[in-house]
Amino acid sequence: MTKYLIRRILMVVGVLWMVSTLTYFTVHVTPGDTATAVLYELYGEDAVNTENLERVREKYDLNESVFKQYAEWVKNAFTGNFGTSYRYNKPVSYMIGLRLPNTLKLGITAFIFSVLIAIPLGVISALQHNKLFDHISRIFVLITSSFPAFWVAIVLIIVCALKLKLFPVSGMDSPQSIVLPALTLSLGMIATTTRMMRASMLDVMSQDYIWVAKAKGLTRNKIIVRHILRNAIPPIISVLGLQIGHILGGAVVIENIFSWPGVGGLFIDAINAKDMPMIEGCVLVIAFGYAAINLVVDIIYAAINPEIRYSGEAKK
Amino acid sequence: MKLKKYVGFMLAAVLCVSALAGCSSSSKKETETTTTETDGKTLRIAFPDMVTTTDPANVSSATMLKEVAGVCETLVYADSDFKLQPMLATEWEQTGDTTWEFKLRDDVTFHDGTKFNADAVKWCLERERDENSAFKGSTFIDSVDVVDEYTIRINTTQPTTELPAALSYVGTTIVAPTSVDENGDFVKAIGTGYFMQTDFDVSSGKFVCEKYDGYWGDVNTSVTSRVIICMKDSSARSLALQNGEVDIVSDIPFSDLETLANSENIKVSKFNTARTYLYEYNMNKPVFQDEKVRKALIYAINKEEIVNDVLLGVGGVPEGMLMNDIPWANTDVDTYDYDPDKAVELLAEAGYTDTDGDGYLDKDGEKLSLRIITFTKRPGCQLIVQATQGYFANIGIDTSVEVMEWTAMAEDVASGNYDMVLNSVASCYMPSPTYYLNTVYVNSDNGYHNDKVDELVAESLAVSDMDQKYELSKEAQAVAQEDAGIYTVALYGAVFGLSDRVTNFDYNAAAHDFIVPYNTDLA
Repeated sequence: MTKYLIRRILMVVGVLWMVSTLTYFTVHVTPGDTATAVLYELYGEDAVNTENLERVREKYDLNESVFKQYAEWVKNAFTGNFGTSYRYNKPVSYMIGLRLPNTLKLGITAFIFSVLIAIPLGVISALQHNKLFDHISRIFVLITSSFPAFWVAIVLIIVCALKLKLFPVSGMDSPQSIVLPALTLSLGMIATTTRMMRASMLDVMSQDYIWVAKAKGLTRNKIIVRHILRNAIPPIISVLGLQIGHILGGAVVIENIFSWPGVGGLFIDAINAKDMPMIEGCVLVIAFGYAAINLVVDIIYAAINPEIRYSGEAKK
Repeated sequence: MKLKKYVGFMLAAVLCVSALAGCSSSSKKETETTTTETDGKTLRIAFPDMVTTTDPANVSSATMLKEVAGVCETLVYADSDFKLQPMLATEWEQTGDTTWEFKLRDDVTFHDGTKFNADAVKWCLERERDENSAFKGSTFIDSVDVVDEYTIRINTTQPTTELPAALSYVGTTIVAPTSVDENGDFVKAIGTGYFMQTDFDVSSGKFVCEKYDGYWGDVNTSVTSRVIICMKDSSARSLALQNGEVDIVSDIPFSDLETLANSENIKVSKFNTARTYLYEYNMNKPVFQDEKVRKALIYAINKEEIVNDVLLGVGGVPEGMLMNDIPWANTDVDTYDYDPDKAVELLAEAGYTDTDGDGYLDKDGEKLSLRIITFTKRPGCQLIVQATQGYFANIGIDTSVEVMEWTAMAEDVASGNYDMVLNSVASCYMPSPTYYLNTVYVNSDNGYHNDKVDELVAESLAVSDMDQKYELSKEAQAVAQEDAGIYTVALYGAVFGLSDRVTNFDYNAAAHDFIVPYNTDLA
């Protein structure tokens, strides 16, 4: 198990390195000069002149080659220094530290929404297989997975905020503020999880041991809870893990629509301003979140089923 | 199985605790804000940019502090007739080619009770000179001397008659020396305005300010606090207004205008601003070195239709290069009104005809193809270039349009990788008769150059008499307009959505981009 853990952690480090490298060079090849972007963002277009451009390039070592800049960034990153944001003139880690709790709050709430809605929906759909509830649930899943999140967000805002006056549409000043963005963020996850839960339930329900349980005269509820659910839920764990990763990515769009001050908004603003240290910081946080969640899911899986640890250990 | 249960419980516990922690911190913050905001009437304003600091050396911050929050002030301000008026300075005089003296108000205190005086102004202007990259090029301020407690002498890097106009620029906003800590790091905007900063959340950009009891001027409003909420997304601003979460929003999406205008409790106001939408030809390309081609393309565009139908009336049809109400705007110039036949005729004279019958004009076997670029930030840009593409197609010009971020556009312009660029420039960032000419024409980035324009602008800059300045500026405008290397296709319109509780909101076109006056009130 220790070897397995070490190997997986090294893989996470490798993923982070690859993601940060790809991001660094991708941003560098996108149109727009970094020094121009910095001056325009901070002081307006009047500040964009040769003298100022040179000063900014000097200040942030932008005259160095991209490879040298990247090597410097990696060296600093290993010491925990992710640089200073050009736009905020504050350490990247400080700004992310301020915004990350908001994104986590949004992500966790969306996750809770999706679990609370998707699991019962999937279970009932399977139990009501090919009946009215199952059909309605499948249509709901089809709709929620087909429409883009930004469109769903607008519909939710119009119905729940403007018409019914139930929730605010922006910011995070009141506890109710989280409902619409979290619900929007959770919809895609609800669709996938409901489908997986339903499929997993139907698979277990067709197993021989369920017939045996029925033949033994166990009550319906006992069969559902002790035999069907217990065996149908484990495959869902890995799906949920992957979905949390999608939540982090989806938050980038949703935060912008609902003016939610999270890492997503910081990321978009950083891209527009070509704020390289901040872009790298945000990408690392999102990538780390995704990789770490997958690692946790794999560890849980490995703990539950030693056979899926790497083959050498499993054969012993 | 035990392990699985344990992990399940752990995950559930972590999620619940996190969610509860999130809710509790939200509730705490809400309580704090509500206490502040319910002591009197609170005006909530959506700011269309992300404020990352309250340091006025940053242009977004300075604009928010001075024009929207009402926390800071400048020495001079421009009224809605573009005339300079005293603010923190009572009078000013040019004492030499490169020196000016400004008398300061002696009845002003900063929000922390410290004295507003010559020492404070010297400290602030010299700090902004060092910290704000646009400051020196805009104001030419080299140093500030203290003459006596309420008089300063400003030394400029070059002769200028327009320093007072420069000192109405948001980047010269005055804050107290106590705004920074002992290390010189900016902490809080301690200004002289009617409102004083009470809270700033760098994470969301939310800014809260309250009435300052020691304010020096007379203000007539029942509003005792303002909350500025940063909302970059125009749809989010529109929805927040409709949901009653803010009282004033600017730059609403054009598509929402009708909905908002038909909403109860919301007023929509449109104003023309001093900002322009302007086309610049790439003058380094041979095709645009022919004046007939430049003029033909302007004749091909229906400016009235663009303003009325494409921009839905948000903006104005230019009668020259500047907003018609600006006192130094020359409206007695050729505006090349829509005339597609004349456009075709001029292009034919320039050698562009459809020789191969493919529907497109060509010359020497080469099709006339143009690439127009513009940027995303200003709402009308994309619409105008799309309409232009249609107008050009009508006279047989193959046109491609590209909309990009401002920096990408600036890079293409710098490298000459374009034929036409649609830009948007604030013509009265400083209310001076030469500012726009200097920025756009004299220091053009499209290769436009005319010695006569340069000469007239330099003369206008050199004279002190305002009437003479205006005349020289108008003459320069006429010459530049005749060249048609750069031309204003529409005047930028500001559109505001106001809650019907808002009263006394007067628009000032001299602002950058809008001012919420102190007297703005809530019913």
